[in-house]
Amino acid sequence: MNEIVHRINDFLKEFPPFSYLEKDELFGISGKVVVKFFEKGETIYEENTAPHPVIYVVNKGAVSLSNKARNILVETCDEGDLFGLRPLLTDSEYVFTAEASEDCILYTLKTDLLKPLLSRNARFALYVASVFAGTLEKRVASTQVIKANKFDPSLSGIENFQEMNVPVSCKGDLSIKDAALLMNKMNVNSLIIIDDGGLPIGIVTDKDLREKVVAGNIKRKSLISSIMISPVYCMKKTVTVAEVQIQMIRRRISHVLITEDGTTNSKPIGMLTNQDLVLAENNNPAIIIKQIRKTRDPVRLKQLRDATDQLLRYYLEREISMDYLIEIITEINDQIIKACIRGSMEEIEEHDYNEEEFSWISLGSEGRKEQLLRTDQDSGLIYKAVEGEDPEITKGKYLALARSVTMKLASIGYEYCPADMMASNPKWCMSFDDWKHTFGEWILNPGQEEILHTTIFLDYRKIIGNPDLTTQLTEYIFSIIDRAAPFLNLLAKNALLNPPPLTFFRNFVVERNGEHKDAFDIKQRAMLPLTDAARLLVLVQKVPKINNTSERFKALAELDKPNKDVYLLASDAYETLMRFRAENGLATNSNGRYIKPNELDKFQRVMLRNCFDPINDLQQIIKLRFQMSTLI
Amino acid sequence: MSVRKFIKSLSKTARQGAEAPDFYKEYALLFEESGPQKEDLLMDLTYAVIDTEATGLDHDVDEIVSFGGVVLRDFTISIEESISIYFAGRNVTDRKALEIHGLLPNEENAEEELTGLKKILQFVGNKILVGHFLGFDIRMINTLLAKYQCPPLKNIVMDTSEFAKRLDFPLRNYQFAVHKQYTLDALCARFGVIPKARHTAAGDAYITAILFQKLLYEFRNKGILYFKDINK
Repeated sequence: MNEIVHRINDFLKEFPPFSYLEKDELFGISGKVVVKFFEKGETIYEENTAPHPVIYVVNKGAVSLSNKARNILVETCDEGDLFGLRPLLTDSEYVFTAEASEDCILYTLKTDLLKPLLSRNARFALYVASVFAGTLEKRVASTQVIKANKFDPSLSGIENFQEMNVPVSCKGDLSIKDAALLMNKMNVNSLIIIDDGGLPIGIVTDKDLREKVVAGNIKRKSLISSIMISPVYCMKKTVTVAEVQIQMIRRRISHVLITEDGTTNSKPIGMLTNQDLVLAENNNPAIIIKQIRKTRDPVRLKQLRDATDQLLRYYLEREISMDYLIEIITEINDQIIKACIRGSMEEIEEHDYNEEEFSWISLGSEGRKEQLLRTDQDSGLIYKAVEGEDPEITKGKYLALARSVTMKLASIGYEYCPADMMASNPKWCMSFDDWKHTFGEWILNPGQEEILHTTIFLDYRKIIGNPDLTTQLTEYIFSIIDRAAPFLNLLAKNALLNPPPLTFFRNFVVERNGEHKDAFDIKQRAMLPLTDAARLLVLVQKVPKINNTSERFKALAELDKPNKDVYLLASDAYETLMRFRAENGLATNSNGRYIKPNELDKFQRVMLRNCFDPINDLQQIIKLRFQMSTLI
Repeated sequence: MSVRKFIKSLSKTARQGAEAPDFYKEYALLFEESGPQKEDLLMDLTYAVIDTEATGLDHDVDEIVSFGGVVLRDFTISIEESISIYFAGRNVTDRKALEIHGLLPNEENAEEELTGLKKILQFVGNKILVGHFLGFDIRMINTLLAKYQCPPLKNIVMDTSEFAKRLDFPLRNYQFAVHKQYTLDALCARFGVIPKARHTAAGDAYITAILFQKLLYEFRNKGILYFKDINK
């Protein structure tokens, strides 16, 4: 019972990464701390010298990290900050000089003591790696540390599936009647049909028996193989809840067979059903989606969208991976829009609508699959002109649809776009040829307003309707883009409008006045520069059909190999920012756009700051490619 | 007979430690090595910064409840080397002072008196002792030593309250010093040491160590650099 150890423990536990440690683990470390004193102005270590076998934590005072050779102050560390982490991750010399900028009490911890934690505790490792991340080179190294630690919290599914059911199987030459008796006896709702070698060749479910035998015309004496679904969809044992969910939703299946190698070339070892997923997680997006599909009622749709916010909160708390979150929430948003459109198509009696003749497009964030929270609606409508019909009549028909849909969406909680960029605006409800013409004008005769429009409209994505309309529009845009140097230059200039949001002292740039004074605008200052850069660069590379910003960066990483690392980091950064915004939005019951920097904890601040670094790198790439230095 | 009188009544040889128990002899032996030299830099020396908590302030009647100490070496405190001892069987009326993290020292983690005393001697060794109003702590330990037929402590002592006064009164006209400006709390406030876990022996020892190093910096700035300067 040593109060000094308690004292140190009490201090460390307030700060990441120590706050992520188990109680006993932290207490053990606290007892091994060595306390050092430095007077203001004293050097703690110098750049280009061999690293000390310890890392430092500021207990009291402040430490400045600087590059003396280049006379740059890199960072000021204050109470609770870590520095001198280099020896924990690499053997190379210190890059910065650390000096006490005030009288300091520092805690030092031997790296030998902490190294085992890096492989044992993923959150600890992630934090250390994030703090260490500064320059691009280092960020790459730290990303590898994170990946090496398999830090992917979404992969929590394995444990959940340990109680996997053993599949019941039979040969294909069993009669349907005997197979049904077997299923009854074993109390299962599916049967795997195996060949002589025990490999799965097909599956029969209750539904097949019901539809094909009881209600259908296949006889009970027939072979079970005559009604089986083949091949049966298989996955590996290491699969996660998330992955199974995605496949079940995509494939509209309720059963997934688990085999040794995840294909039908190995023996079955487990069976996962829709019900298993319900049990694995209380919140099931598949069920929400199913219910959305069943209804047209905006009131019910609003309830389901509210439930989705709960789901989102649940996922954010569990740090489910962003890929999965985006996929699920976008699917839900899309289904709601579809339900509204189909509902309106049925309700409006004066007109007949045919999904083959138009295409409803989402623009902006929903177009980019980034609308985790309900924000503004941005939409457009492309329709096929009807030969021999007054264009105004055709337009009126679709405007009626669009007005009804946007009204429904507003009642569900998607606010009207303040700039009226919605399909209900006659300007954005056009025939295919008019859209082509409009884009042609924007791209070939660009001005400032056109650029603003294109940044929103270029992120269009088809929600419902004839896919040819959007595909052809994209083809047209790509066909004229090579002749559109001034347009691309303006777009590039636009992408450089928002510089990385840090002041010289690495503080956040906050709003100076207005309602959100002293708040940090994460959308405008951090996400927009990334979105703009991604859009511009995929346009130049003519990458079709990828709208999502982080996916765009991943695609760019493949196409522009020399800058691969920048793109991958930008992709990660964007996902992190989306998470931040969503968490903030749910916490403050807002659209999450304004963040109060002083309410962030240390970890969040470091994570957020690291997200800004790629902005600078991307803007350098853009400047180089478009020779912007001469333009601005 | 008070303990002080009892010590005085011991023969000279007893006070020198010739008849003392083995654990004391072992401790006394350490002082045959040469101690700090005149030219040693104060900042380079090794110190044992200590604090004791007692049942009261009268060393004739009151007993040590707890002892805490940290080692300051090369201007570094290694927490592993720190010590915190609770003495068993003490009648502590003000238990509030001992409540740390909801734990009260119980008979399990408290030491028998003699074992505790041995641990204190082992801990301080021949290091320079540092403490705040150290005289009290030394008297308490000496009283305990006497109880086991041991002579007093032999260590060189440095008192942080004295050091602070010396900073303010270079001519050592301490009669002008206002006592309450030199308490541990007052000095912590003055030198910006956050007094956490105060009033536990170990906590106070730790704070005193931090205060002590601040004082050594102040000394250095005033040209008091060497061991010899202290006794000048």
